[in-house]
Amino acid sequence: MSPLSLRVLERIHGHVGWLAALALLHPAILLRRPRRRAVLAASLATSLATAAGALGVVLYPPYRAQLKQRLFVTVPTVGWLFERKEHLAVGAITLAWIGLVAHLVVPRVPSGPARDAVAKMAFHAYALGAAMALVTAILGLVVSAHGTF
Amino acid sequence: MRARLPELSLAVIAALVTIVVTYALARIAQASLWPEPNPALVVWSTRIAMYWRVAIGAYVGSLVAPVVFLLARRDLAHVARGLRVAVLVAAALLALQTVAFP
Repeated sequence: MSPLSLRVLERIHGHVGWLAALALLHPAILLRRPRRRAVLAASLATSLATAAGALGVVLYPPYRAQLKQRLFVTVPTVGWLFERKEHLAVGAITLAWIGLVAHLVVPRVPSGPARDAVAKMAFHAYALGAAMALVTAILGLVVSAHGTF
Repeated sequence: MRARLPELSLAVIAALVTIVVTYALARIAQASLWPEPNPALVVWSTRIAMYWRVAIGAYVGSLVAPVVFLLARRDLAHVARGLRVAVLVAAALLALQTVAFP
C-alpha cells in the first residue's frame, strides 16, 4: 500500500472511529428504558463500529511494520497506549454486537424475567461498548498526535 | 428454527461474551507467562497476537454456544439472567486487562 493511501485510510479510520463512538451512545441512551425499540440506531451504530474495526484490521500490519518500533523507541508510553486502544476496540465492537443481537431478539423472548434480562443486557452492552469506544477514540487521537504514516 | 430464535440468540451472545473473556485471559497469560520482546528492539514478530487472541476466542465461543443453546432450551430466563451478568464481568475483565496487562 502506498504511503498516501495509508495516510488517507488512517484518517478515515480515525473519523469513522469517532463517529462510531458517538453513534454507540445513541442506543446506550435510548435503551435505558427496557421497552424502547431502537433497531435503526442500534444497527447503524454497530455497523459504524464494525467498519472502524475493519479499517483498523487493514491498517494494523503496516502500523507494525512502519510505526510501532519508532513509537516505542521515541515515546514508549504512547506505544503502550496504542496497545491498550486495540484491546478496548475489540471489546467495544464485540459489546456492540452483543447489544444488537440482544436488542433484535427482545420482542421474540416470552414476556417475563427472560425478556427483562435480555432488554437490560442490550442496554448494558451498548453502554459499556460506548464507554470503551470513547476511550479508544481518545487514545487514538493521542497516538496519532505522536506518529502517523 | 424461528421458534428457537431466543435460544439461538442467547447462544450467539454467549459466544461473543466468550470472545471477550478469552481475549482478556489470553493476553493476561501471554503477558505474565510468555512476555514478548521489547517492541523498541524488535522490528516485528512473525504473527499478530491480537488476531490470534480473537481467533482463539471465536473458537472457544463456538464450543460454548451449543452448550448455552441446550441450557437455554431448558430454562431461558435463568440463562438470560446469567448472560446479563456475564456481559458485565467480561467488560470488567477486559478493562482490568487493558489497564494492568497492555
